[in-house]
Amino acid sequence: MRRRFQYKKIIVLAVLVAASVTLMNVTGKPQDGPSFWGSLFLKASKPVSSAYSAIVGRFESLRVAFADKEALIRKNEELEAALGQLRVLESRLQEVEAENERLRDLLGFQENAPGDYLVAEVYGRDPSKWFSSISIAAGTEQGVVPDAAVVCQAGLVGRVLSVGTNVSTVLLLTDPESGVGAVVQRSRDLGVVLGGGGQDSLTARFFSKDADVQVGDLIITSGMGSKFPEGLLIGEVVSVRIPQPGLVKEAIVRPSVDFEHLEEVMVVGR
Amino acid sequence: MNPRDGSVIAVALVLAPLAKTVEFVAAPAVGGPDILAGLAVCVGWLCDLWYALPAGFVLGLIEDVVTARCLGSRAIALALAALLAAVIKSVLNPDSLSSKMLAALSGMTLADFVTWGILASRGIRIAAPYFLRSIWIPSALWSLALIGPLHFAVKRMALGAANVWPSSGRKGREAAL
Repeated sequence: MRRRFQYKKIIVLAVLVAASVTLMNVTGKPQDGPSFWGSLFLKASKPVSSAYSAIVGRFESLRVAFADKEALIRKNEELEAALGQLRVLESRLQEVEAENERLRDLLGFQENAPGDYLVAEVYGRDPSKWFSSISIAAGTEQGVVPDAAVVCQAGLVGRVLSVGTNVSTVLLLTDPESGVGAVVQRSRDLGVVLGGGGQDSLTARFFSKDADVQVGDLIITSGMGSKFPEGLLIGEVVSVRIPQPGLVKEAIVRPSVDFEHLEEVMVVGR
Repeated sequence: MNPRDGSVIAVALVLAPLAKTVEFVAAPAVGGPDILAGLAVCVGWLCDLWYALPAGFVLGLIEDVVTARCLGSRAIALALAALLAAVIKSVLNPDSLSSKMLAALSGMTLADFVTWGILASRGIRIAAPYFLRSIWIPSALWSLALIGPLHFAVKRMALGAANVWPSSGRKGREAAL
């Protein structure tokens, strides 16, 4: 009985070994692709493994980020400093380019117009809302004299009101105290151009009510009164009116100069 | 003159050149705030009527000297603005912001129209549309916005300065200390 039981054990063991060998042979065979069960397992586990990889990847990058935080902050600061310097350089470059362009224009004007001109930088404006004047960085040392005409490439700016050693005040055409002898370029009718109407409006008052002046006419300096040279552009007529019957004719003139954006001007030598 | 009036005037006179510098550097002359006129209104609001008048005149004179054109035009204008503010204060509730705003608007309007008239009488003619559009309306609007902060600043600084003022009473000396 005992012997029989031992045989049974041996038989079971042999079956198990045979089954194991068979299984090993089956699974150990080279195949063209994964088995059915393998494929099924791969398909089922793909989302899980993807999510795991993603999470692990995030944690890994976070770990690296925290580990290199100091280095990253330093790098960021360096880059921001470099960017700031580049911005400053870009701004300066643009400023130099604009100045270069303005000076070229002034040079062109200077070459085409007769007389001596002194280029001066505008550095201040009238602190009062009632008057229109600018301060320029040129005075007696540079040869500026009172009442000298001041122009820019666009036309007449005004005249020198007061002169210091290295600074001068220029009364703009738009100032309520300004008055310039003028002439209509087309018809040669004489008049006077007055300020006091704001930065974009002048009033031309003609000596005759029959003056031939039309919208679009150019108004230039007449040269009378000796303060301003003849032929400097003042502006363009935008409207004509006769304020009261029998009185002189008036025209509203848009100045050719943009008084709000003056940066360099030229003082006309005497 | 009591310490309070003296302090207000002293503070206004110290602030005036500063205000003009701020106007010159940081704000456009045309369309920008008229801080000096605002100061004149504050002085009129905080001081006795008869001190407001000369204080406003001196403030205007400072502006005239800085501008260096038509001396006296702004002095008269700001003296009247301060006077008007003092009169309005005596009539309306002095603690109300609306009263201060009304005083600022009225004072600024009076100052601007008086200046315009004086300049015209001296042959310096400013076209009416330009005056209304670019000078008076911006000044009036700015005065409404500025009067609150200006009044607060002048009052606070004057209170601080009043402690330095010599006082005969024991309480005053204690306050000064």
